[in-house]
Amino acid sequence: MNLTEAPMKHHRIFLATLVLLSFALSACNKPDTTAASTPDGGLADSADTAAADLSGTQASIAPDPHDPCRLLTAPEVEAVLGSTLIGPPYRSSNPLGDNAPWPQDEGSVCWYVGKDNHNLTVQAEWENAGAISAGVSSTLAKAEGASKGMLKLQDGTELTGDWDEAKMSGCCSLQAIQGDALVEIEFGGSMATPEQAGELANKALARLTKPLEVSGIAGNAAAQKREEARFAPTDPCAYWTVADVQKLLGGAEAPVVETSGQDCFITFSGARGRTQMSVTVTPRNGYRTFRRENATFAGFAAGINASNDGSVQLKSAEGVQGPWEAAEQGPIQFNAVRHDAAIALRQGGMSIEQIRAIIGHAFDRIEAGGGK
Amino acid sequence: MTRIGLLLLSLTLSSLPADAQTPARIPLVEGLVQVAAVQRPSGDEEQVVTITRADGAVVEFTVLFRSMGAKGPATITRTREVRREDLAKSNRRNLVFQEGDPPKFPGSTLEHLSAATLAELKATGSSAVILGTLTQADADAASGFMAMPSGRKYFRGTLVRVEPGAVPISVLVNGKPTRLGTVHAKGKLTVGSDSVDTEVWVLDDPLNPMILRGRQGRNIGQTIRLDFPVAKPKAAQLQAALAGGACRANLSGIYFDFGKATLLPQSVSTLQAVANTMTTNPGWSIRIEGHTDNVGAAALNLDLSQRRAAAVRDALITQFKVPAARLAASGFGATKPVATNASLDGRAANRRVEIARTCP
Repeated sequence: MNLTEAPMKHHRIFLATLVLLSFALSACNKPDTTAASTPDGGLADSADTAAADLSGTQASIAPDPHDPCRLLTAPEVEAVLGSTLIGPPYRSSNPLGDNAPWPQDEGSVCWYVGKDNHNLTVQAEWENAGAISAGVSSTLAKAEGASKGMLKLQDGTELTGDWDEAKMSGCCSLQAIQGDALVEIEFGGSMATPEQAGELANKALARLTKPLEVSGIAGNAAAQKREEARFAPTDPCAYWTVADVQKLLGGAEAPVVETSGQDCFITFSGARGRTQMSVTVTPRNGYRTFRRENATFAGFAAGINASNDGSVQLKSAEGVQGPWEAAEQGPIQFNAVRHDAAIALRQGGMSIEQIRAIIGHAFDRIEAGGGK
Repeated sequence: MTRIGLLLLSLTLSSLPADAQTPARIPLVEGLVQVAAVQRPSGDEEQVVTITRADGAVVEFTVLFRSMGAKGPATITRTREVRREDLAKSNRRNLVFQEGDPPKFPGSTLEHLSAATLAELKATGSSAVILGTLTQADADAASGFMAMPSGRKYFRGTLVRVEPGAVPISVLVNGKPTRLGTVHAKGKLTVGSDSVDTEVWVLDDPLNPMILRGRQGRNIGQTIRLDFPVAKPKAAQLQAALAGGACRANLSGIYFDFGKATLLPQSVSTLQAVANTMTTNPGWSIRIEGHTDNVGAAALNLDLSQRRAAAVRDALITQFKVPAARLAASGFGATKPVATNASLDGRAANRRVEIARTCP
């Protein structure tokens, strides 16, 4: 009989889960693009290859004991992603946000990027994990409480593994604590399941005391090159010209395409007269955004649906066909994702054909590197 | 020395009346209530653990933490679901409740060793365990819910049985002082550079290996009461006791807020039984008597016993519609003990509510 009730009061908070509360923060973490100086490690399709590459390029650098890339091998992650990595694992600072994939040498997150930029990240705390987890949980609980049940930001999980406790937050973040250490697998950038994330968490936990002899920094230069080559304009309207919209949607009057904050507002003449839409494009790390937004909305909708007498029922439609990998039509916005780009479109009165046209054009431009 | 500290230090395991008997079993069923006194360096508290649900898959524990804070008595309630499969075989316990916790921690128990761990302790004398708890410094400072701890850590190590045979622990079971056989084990568990010395006295029952007494460093908890539903309806027991020669019954199953005269919800079934008895016997009038142990000032004990008796009377009148004219209430403080005040279980027995019928 020594049960303890222990509310939290302090602690640093770093986990990806908190970004749910302030997503905009993560959009500001683009690093100095000239900072990376490590050699290009080339592609690594097995742990042995990665280790061999690094032994030649990193001989004078002592391994960082807290390098998150020392917890999982490339083949282990490839098995979950379903494709070969397009570059060696590398270090970054954050799994969430448009600019999260940019490498950072001191980053606490290891990125594994596969085909179509589908990806998965791992990070760890080697000690004091209970305090960190408690601080995050307390903050999220307060946010959930403030929403009066409309938000569900964290939950337990029925998954069992080699960990002592585990929690899911958002759609796709599995945090597993063992002893005083924590491993977080963020799998929202992929098609991975919680069960697969659990298998990776088990492997990562086992390596906390015996990490791989590799260095995540070795992959940063290649990642830097890839990110620099991607078409990811800061102007949210850079994906459509006025002529593009006129061609895609038609209409008697010339459309208006204008930027407002992070959104592009497009006004055109449609069957119902003058119609306006706002579009938000996430050109990188979009798959994670897509899954998280859908999960957040699903929780929100469930809260709304449960809180009224049935007069308001929010529903979503998945499996809408179009020029995307996946899409979900919700009452608030239309979400679509292709490769690693996501597009959210909010409108009234547009047909699905018009939605396909606008979104498909933006996806095509991203894939063409800004051309087309 | 604090109140519960005195109680615990003066604990004697052999202070029970000679006629006390070990019941066949403490059932792990909905309605089982476990009251424990907990001593921490930062202050004493009381914990009331109620099984609020027990089905084939899950047992739900609702825990009331009650302590004396700077602004007076304070109570907080937390709930935890434990899977039956973990009660059967898990070697991990998670003792800590934190804001934002999920309702369930698969793979962990709460206040039980698993049946497998108990069996291994009995068969081999030791068993590897994992304990999710606070570091010693945080546990010392925890004072229940007034704390600023640094989160739970999972300590690992081996529990080693201390005595080869059963160790009796004295507990008030359904109002009756009772010796319960336990298995006593202890060990030093570690995580990183932190360690915790822990000790448990676990009920020797594979169907309900609940921890009746535990120590973690300087924090000690002792079960002082266990109440559970019995096959014979409470009203029938009251009827028999009040109709008998003594015309008197001990109301086990009445719970008050810590240091207050506020009835807890766990008292409802007992109050309902009293009301049913009064309905069945419209000619009866009863007096509700409050009693305390001898810890604290006599005047305060007398006042508390009077207020608690009055609270029971008020509840019977207002919530259960027993006519006020048939109910009287009085308090006697510590003046009428039924057991020694030198032991924890004896004092628990003395803190009671009785009802007495005005016999012809």
